[in-house]
Amino acid sequence: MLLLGFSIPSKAQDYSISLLPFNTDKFDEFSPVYYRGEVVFCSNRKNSIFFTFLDEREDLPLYDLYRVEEGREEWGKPELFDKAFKSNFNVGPATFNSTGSEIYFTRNIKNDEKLGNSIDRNNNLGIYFSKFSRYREGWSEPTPFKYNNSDYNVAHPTLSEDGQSLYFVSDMEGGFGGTDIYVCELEGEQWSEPENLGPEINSVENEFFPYIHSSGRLYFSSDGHEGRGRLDIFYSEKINGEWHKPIGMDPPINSRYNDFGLIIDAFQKSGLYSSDRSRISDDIYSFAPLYPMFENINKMQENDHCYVFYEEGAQSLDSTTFEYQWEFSDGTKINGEEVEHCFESEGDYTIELNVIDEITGDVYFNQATYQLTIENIEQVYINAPDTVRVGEEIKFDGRQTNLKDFEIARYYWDFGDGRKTRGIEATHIYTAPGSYIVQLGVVSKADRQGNSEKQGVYKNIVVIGQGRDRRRID
Amino acid sequence: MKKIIITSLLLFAGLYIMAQPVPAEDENIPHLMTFGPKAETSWGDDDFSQTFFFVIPEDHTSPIFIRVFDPDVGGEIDEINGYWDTRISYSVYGGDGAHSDEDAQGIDPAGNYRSGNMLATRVFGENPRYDNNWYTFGPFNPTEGELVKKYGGYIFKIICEGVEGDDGNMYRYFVSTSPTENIRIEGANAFAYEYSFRMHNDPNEVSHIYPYIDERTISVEQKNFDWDSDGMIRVVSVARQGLLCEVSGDDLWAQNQFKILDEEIGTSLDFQFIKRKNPPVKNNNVVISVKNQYGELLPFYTIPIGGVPKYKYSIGVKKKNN
Repeated sequence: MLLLGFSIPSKAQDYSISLLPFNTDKFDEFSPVYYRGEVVFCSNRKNSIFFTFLDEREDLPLYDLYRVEEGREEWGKPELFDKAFKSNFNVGPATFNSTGSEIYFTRNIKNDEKLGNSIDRNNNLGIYFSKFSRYREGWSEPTPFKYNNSDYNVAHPTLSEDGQSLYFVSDMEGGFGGTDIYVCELEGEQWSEPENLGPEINSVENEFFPYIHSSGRLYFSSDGHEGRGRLDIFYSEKINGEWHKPIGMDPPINSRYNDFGLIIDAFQKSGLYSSDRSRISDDIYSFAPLYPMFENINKMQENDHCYVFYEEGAQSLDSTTFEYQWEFSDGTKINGEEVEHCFESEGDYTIELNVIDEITGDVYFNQATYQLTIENIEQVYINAPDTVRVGEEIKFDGRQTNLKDFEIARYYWDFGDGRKTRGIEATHIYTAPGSYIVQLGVVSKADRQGNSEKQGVYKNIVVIGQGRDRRRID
Repeated sequence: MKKIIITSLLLFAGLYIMAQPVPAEDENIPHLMTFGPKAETSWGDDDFSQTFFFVIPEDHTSPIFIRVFDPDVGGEIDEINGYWDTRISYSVYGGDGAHSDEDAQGIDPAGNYRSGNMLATRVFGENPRYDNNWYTFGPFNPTEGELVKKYGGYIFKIICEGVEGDDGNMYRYFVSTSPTENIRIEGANAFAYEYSFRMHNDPNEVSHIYPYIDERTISVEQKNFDWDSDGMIRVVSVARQGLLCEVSGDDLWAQNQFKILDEEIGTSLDFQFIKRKNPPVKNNNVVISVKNQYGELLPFYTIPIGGVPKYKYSIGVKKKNN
């Protein structure tokens, strides 16, 4: 198989995390989802001062969907998402289409019980669909997903941006163990048969809370892949139609507690996720990259160590024939009237000209000498190929960076596909063809006042499909 | 006619020069050549006469001697044509007009080319005593030459001419302070306006002559005779890597002109005579002269003014993508 022995290297991603202020101490908040400038999440917080349905096992209220206005600095006050989805049983998590006019959400299948205080252990979860009507200014009566089944759970829907793919989890028979992630494709107005995402994604344990990003990357939680303990958040992408091995999010997002229900912005830089690391209840956290901003970066210039050498006194009126032999101190010898030579790297080189008299056959050694000093351009330098293939492991190296009076403390790589890392060198694999802007930023060591400087460059890298002939690109 | 001068070079930028054999080492010419007047010109001598000038520095006061190597016509070195029947005269001139007479500075033995005072003369035929041996003219008081301030000394002229016969006379000169040894004179030099000489038989040997380019020279014309298409004539200078010239065939003249480069003013050109490798040409006698744009003959100094001109290579470097 194409992906045998294939892995996408994972380097430490630097994030800062924050516990969001609308979390409660006692109750759970989890599985946020973006919705028209708000965040919709699940919570079992009390929403009625008169009556609350309780989970008979935990003696806690059941889950409902809540909404809260998203703010950069301040968040609004959470409130019930919509009464239309209020239930005597559990509701959520949910997913919306790109315009927010359609919702798919999780709910107990048996929803008509009058007395919800005593939940039926066999009341499995299903997915329900509702559409917002501007005319009625409200959500339609939820309709069950075609593949709901009272014999097993169908839950945690996430809808692709184009609305054509619905991912969800289920413990239906035929899986790889526990709950697995499935996908249905919209065919006309009907969802296709659920398709298991396969063993690369689905482990023998449980996979929960999938989130399909607009880039095609699938985030999900699992306690079956190698992680940091309990549920951890992983992501994967399709390469040539096959899911690659899931990559775990690095700390502090993943922890030894349950980490799940991640959503991330369009640029895959910042987002929200859920965790029970407080050991009291599930809470929603935000995360943002610690990757520094590099302003005014320039396109990297290739170090040009190629020169043309010629005998500058030769005049065209001369009609006799001499042959020139050029000796370069890097060991190269080239014969020719005017020759080109590219040096491997910067340095001091000596060029000697030997002259061969083609008439007499005499050789005159070292008739002229030239001392050539080659310096790299003073810039941050990305040493990487210009054209690579999908799935190819690429080495990126910043060692040829040439900055004077600049002692580099840290290197920051941005591969242009949402992934970043640190270090003087890095490896990376692109999973989709395209043109990517790779950025390398460096930060100097802080001076006595604690100030440091930043420099950065970018270069374009073309990623071609595995089947194309690279020579055509070159 | 061929003319040779030994001249002081005090005018030439402090160059330290010693009188020397003619031809000199840097010329790598085995022998001068003059044929008897009945020889065919196709054998390499266009006029059976060769003149050289010697200039003795004005401050040189001791007697000088003009020595001739192998002055006779016979024996090992000379070129026999049937049997030895050739007589060759050597005449030394000094005094007013020896060089300054216009006819003395031509290439043809015509007019008053024997100008000046004849100081000595001798005719040689086949003479084993002087075969492969030296004959000495002199002593001469340096002041017996013609004082020419332009050359910074006294000029003596020696004319070698064929008197009888058709054999080829091969010979060399040396201006010495001794009648019996070749002792160089400091600051002296020699030059000719036309060179008749014997090429090497070894095709790997390269002979040279060094015409001096003064500030009046804009272009020159080289003219050569009876080269027998033996290889090529290449001109090298401090600014010229190698200009190929027209080369004459058997009993023919050939000439071409070329412009003088600014850097060549005040230096000598190096006319290189590079023999053909295959088939090799042996016993090739040739004649060459060089004129400026006024038709004035340029002197060939046996010790080149400014030293042997060497093309100065210089490496140019530019970025490939510029």
